Parts: sequence; structure tokens; C-alpha cells
Amino acid sequence: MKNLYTYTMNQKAIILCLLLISVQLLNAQDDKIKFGAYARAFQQMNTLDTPGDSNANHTANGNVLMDLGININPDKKTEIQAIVRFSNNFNGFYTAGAAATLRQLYVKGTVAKFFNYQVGDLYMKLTPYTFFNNSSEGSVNEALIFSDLRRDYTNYENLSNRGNAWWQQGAATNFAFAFNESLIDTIRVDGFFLRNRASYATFPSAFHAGGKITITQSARLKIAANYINLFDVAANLKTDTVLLYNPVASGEINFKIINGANTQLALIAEGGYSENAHKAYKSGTTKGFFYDAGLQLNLKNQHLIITSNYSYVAPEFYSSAAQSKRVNYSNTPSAFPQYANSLKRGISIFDLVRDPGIYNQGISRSLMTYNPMYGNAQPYGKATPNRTGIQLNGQYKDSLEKIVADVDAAYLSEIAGVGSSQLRTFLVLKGGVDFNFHKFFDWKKRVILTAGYQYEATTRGGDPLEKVSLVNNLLDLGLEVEVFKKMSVLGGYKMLTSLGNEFISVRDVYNDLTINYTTTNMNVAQSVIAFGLKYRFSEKSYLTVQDHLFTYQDKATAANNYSLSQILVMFNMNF
Amino acid sequence: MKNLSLIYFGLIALLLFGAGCRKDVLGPSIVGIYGPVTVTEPFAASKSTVDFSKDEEVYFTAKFEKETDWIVTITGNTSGAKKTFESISNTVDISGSKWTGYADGAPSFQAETVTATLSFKHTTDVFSKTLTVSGQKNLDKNNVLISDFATPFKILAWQKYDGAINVTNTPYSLADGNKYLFMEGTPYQETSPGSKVITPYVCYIEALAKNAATNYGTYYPLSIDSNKVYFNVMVHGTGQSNTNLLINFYEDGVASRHINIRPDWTGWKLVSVTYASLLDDVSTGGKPDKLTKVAFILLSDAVPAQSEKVSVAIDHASFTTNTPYQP
Repeated sequence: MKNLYTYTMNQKAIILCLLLISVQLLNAQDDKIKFGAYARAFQQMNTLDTPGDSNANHTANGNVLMDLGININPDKKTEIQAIVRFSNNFNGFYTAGAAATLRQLYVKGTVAKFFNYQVGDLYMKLTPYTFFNNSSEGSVNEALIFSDLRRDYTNYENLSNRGNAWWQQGAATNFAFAFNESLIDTIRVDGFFLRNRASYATFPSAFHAGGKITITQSARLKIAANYINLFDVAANLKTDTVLLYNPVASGEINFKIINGANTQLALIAEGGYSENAHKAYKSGTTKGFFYDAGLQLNLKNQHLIITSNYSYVAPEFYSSAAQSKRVNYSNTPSAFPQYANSLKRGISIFDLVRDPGIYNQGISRSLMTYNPMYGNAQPYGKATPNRTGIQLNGQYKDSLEKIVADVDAAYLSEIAGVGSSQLRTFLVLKGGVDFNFHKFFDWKKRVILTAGYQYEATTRGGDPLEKVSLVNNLLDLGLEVEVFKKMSVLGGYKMLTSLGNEFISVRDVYNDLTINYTTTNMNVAQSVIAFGLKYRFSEKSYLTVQDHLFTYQDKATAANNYSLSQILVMFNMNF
Repeated sequence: MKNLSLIYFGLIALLLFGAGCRKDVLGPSIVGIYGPVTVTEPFAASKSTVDFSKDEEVYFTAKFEKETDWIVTITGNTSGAKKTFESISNTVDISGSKWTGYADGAPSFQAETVTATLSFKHTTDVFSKTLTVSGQKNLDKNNVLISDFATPFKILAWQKYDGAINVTNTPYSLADGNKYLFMEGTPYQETSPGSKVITPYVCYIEALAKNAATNYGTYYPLSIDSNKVYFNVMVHGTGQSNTNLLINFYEDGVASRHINIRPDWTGWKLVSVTYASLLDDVSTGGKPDKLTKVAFILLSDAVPAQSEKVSVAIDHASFTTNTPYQP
């Protein structure tokens, strides 16, 4: 009987050729398709304890997920990136709580060797007065045990882990010209068109459109113009409603007055205007302007950068994409939204570190509410309206980074009184320092101490009824000690105190001040102490086990006191 | 050096420019809102007797030395109904305090004496006036009334098992000025003599379109657009946690939509929902123009604890178009 598994010489040759061709095809596919991934396993166990409540409340939840990045280059000029999330909740039974979702998708490429474009999900940033995602409150050089969680969990989940850029959906393009032996070195043009809101019910679609032109005259002089407009599309209206129109334009200059090898002194300035109109609601527009000018001194040999600037932001200045806050203080915390006798639990420094649910992913169409406890001088960042004053900043970082320090001071005041002819004044003092002790003594294992402190005082005089006095203190301390190779013990402490009173203006959806104020009297102390272990598989991959103990103390009303404890395990991997 | 001097001069000029540009005060005055109030014109009503059945109106007046957060509250001395006007200004006048006879919620005002009170959010000063409402507002002018339970009890289909169904004016206050429907009992259903099955049912009534407050014929005269039709009913809760009022809506005789109301509050409360928001019982439905019957069913969640009695009172069940019922 013939052995069916014996091949003739010709058959062997054919099979070998087919195999070789398959390998070649596979190689060709690898060049065009690449994979990357981010994986995380997260489990937390929380306990809420309120005095007088005999029932301690417990919650436990967690999940494991993988964001699979697929990068496809169909040709040299085109790139398609998709990130697909596979997730599974630990509490579910066999696929209950499992999900596969498309997290990000964009296409980018080059047209005619000249125009770069990107369509789909993208990150957008211009200047702090035009398009900027201001950093969240509640930290000043915080410990690694907090910053790891904030960066790799909270910010990552909210797609806000790209510095001060906003995650958006739309299209962007840019191109540049370079000139030889000309007055101008380069001109770069950026343009974008982003969707702010899809139409639903009686609300029309809204879009952001804008761009930037940057002219680099030389190594010493650079000027730029920015334009951004948030507008509603009337054609989508189903019923009469407001038509928001919010253009913002600004011009920037960066001129190096002194451009030496060791010393550089630069003039940095930006000025612009805004309009805010609701065409179907009221006639006319509200116009405002701003300017921000200052000097930056860079002493390279001394490893020192000193910046001073004066800013003026008119009360009428409105820039939706620069004044939207990263945290939505109208949201309730995910863990224990209520406590004691149905008291609503407000957002705390504990939640600001580890709760993605309190964060805001979109650009607001009016000024968002804020909590003065977490920042009263510039709650909307540099673009906070009705502020003028001087700010100083000093940064120090030696060549070996043994010490890294940053100090800020600001004295600001209102331009127009709010509810009073008296003006509020704001004094902010902030500093942070990292001591890399291991670099002092040339140890191979890390010993790092971090510290940060912020003092903010708001005052207003006048009639006793309208007086304001509010002092906020924020302290951050951290320690990392590498006990074994790649294994560190982490410690962190965060404390916030707030004492005094404030009147918070209430605005309507058209950004107008209403006839109400929210009065608040505070005598609150919050503190978090955390300790844990961290094992670094690589610079981007680690496993950490942590215990956080949080206390909220209302010294005026003891019934509002409570404490939270959290044990968490997080495995984070980038590859 | 010259360049630096120019730059510093420019910055100082900007500083002075900015500091010099002070603007008017933004927002209402805090001292005006939170400070003591000086009344320059006393609190008064435009008339001492008003007949809302004739669509008469009444308004209030007062003047203050400065802007303040004032509140005018009208309270029915018999019904306990309330109507509130509030604003921040230095005058109370017709534009901010015109009263046409409606209340803010259940119960409704009756023909009764009412007390109008002027108070302030941030001080303890209070001023009062007494008025007489000689005629109650006709609240059903544009409504499709199922029943106000005032006219003789016309709803024919009902079942009370071991419970009680009464049209009465005790033990609760009146919701719309006349009697209301009171249902009470413990849950069970007798399937055959000597054989009882514990069910959540306590008692129920049914209101057919042809037997409602008006003989509407086969169907209640409602719009075809379920987003425009509102179902309204006043419900008196007693704070009991096990009381469950189930209301079924029958389209062409088939139970098509329903709503569960758990009156865990005390006192009268107006419940108003759009027909479109009612829960589905069948895959088709949402046709208010085909509504033939409404059933009010009192259930108990205490099953199988039969001994616990539950009760609820309802009044002024109606349909309105475009807006909820105004009590």
C-alpha cells in the first residue's frame, strides 16, 4: 500500500516554495502592521467610616484591561491607528462585565509631500488663553505614590494624559515653509476643525474651528497668531434655541533680547480678544480682551530660569477651550457618594487623585462651577477672567538633577468688584523640590524625597457683610526608597486646609451672572497618608500595592466628618 | 540696556493702564442682598377679595431702600396650599407677584382665606396680609378629567377584596377642595371558598372613558402624540415603605402602559408624567388616542406578610396637553 504521507520530489519543491512565499508575505505584513499595547489590572477595596455609624461601608471592585494599539501603514504616506480596549470586571461571572470597545481611531498622513493631516481622534493645544487643558487642582509636586495613580489611571482613563492638550474628534492639518537667505526662517500653518457637540433633542451641533500661524524670523524672534471659534450650526436646529458664537484671537511674540551661550533674556508676550454671543437669545456680543507680558531669564551655568510677567484678563474675556476645567465639581465621587445620614460627599483631595468619574472630558460652553477650597485665585487657569497682577517663577535643576526645584509667587486682584465696589486680592505662594539623595552619594539604589507647599490667601474689605477672607494651604510630601533592585518602598502625605468665607457667583448657561451667590464658610482639614510597594519591571511597567488612609474633618460641623481607607493593587504595563 | 529700559517702561505703563481701568460692579450687591432691609413702601395686595372662578387676578406691592432677596408666600388657611414668588430687586410689583389662583404643587387652593407673607432670605423681618378667595380657579378648563371624586362615584369597576375603597374627606386634608379616593387594606386574594392565595393585590378601581367625569365615548379624547400628553394625579403618601400604587393604561382594552408610584412621602404630591415616559407592557403601544381605560391598583410589597395594612389616597386624576397639570 502506498504511504499517503510520502511526497514526491516535485511535491516537496512546491510545498517549500509555498512556505517561502508565505513567510515573505508575513514579513511584508509586519512592515505595514505593527502592534503595541497597554495593559492594566486594577483592584481596589474601599472602606468608609463615619463617627457614630456602627455600620462600616465596604466596596470592592476592579478590572483587567488591555488597550491593543494597531498601527497600519498601507503606504509610506498614510498611517491608521486604532486602539481597541478589551476589559473584564472582576465582579462579573464569565463575560458578565466584559467588553470590547474602540477607544481611539485616527488616520494621519501626508498629501502632496507637503500637507500633513490627521482625521479622527486627536489631541489639541494652543496657548493658555486660547486652547488649553489646565492641570487639575489638589497637588503641588505630589509624591510618586499619588502621581503614578493620577497619571496611569485617572488621567489615562480620561484621555487627559497628554499634558495640557484636550482630546478631541475632528480633523487637523499643518504645513510649513522654509526659506533660505531670507528675512524669515520658517512659516508654519496649523488648522483644525473639531466637533464640540453632536446635535440632539433641541440642541444644534457645535464645532471648534481655528488655527495658528507661526513665523520664525530667526533663532531670536518668533511671532505667532492664534484663532479659535466655538460656534453652533443653525442648520441643525430643530426648534428655536441659542446660537453660541465665541471667537478668540491672540498674537504672541518671543524675542530673545540677549541670546548668549550662558545667558538668555527673552521677552514673552501674548495679547488678544474674545467675543461671546448667543444670537437667538439676545442681541449684541460681549467683548473682552487680555494681555500677558513678561521677561524670562535663563542662566545656563547656574541652572536657573527666572520668569516674571504681568497679566490682565478682562471680566468679559471668555475662551471656552481655555477656561474649561479638567475637574467637574458638579459631579459626585464614584466611591460612597453619600455618607452618614444621606449627606452628600463632596469631591476631596482623595478623589482628585484616583477617581476618573469626577473629571471632565469635554469643552464647556460656559464657565464651569469650581470649589474655592482647591483654588480661588485662578480657578480657570491663566485665562481666568477679571484678574490682573504680577507673577514670578523660578526653576532650578542642576546638571545631575540632584536637586530640582520650582517656586512660584503671584499677587493678583480683581479688575471689577463682584457684588461689591471693593476688589478681591489674591496672594499665591507655591514651591516644590525634589531631593535625589542617591545622586549626592552616588548610590545605585534610589532614595528620593519630594516636597511641595502652596499658600493661597483671598481677601476683600468693605462692609462686614461683603468681607472675604479665605486661606488655603496645601502640603505634599513623598518618599521613595529602593530597598532591592527595582523594588521600592513608597510613602506619601497630602494635606489641605481651608479656613474662611467666600461668595461664589452663580452663572447661567449664557455665562451671565445671575441674581444669586453661593455663600460658603469653611473650616476644613483633609489629609491622606499612603504607603506601599512598587516593583518596576521596566520604566513603563510596574506592579504596586498601596494603602491610602483619608480623613475629612469639618471643624465647624463635626457631623460632616468621615474617613476612608483604600487598599489597591495595580499592575501597569506598556509594550 | 536701552532696550531693557524701554521694556520695563512698557511693562509699568501696562501696569498703570490695567490698574486704572476699573469697571462697574458686576452682579447684584451683596450688602443689598444680605444686609438689613428698610421698607419704604409697605407690603400691600391689589385687592382684599379675589374670585378666581371669574379669572380675576391679584398682585402684591412693596418697595425697599435697596435690592434685596424677597419672598412672597401665599398659604391657604384651610387647604394648606402654597404659592411662592421670589426675586432680587428693590420693588415687589405686578411683574413679579401676579397671582392667578394656581398653587406651586398639591394641594390646590380652595375658596378660603389665605395669608400672604413677605419675608427675606437673609433677615428675619416678616410682613403679612390676609385675603379672601371667594371662588376657586377652574383648573380643568383644558384638561381631560378622569375623576375628581367630587361628583357621585361614577367609576363602576372596582374590587376591594378585604380592603376599603371610599370617597371621603377624612383623615387627610383636601387636595382639590373636595373629596378624594381613599384605598386601604391588606393583601390577599381568595381564589375559591376556603382557599386563599397571598398576592400583592389589595384593591383597585377602573375608570373607563365612557364612565369618567364626562362620558368621553370609547376613547379618552387625547392627542396622538404621546410626548404631548401628560398624565396627572395627586397622591397622598403616608411614609409607608410597602405601599405601591400601580396605574395601568389600556389601549383598545389591552393593558399597554403602566406606572408604579411608591408614595413614601407624607402629604399630597402631584405626580405628572408624559404618556411617552410610561413603561411598556406590550411591544406596540404609546397610542394615547386609543386609551379606553385607566386602572388604579393598590399593591402591597409586604407579601407574604399579610398582616401589614397599606393605604393611599388619590385625587384629581386627569390628562393635560403640552404641559403638566397646574394645581
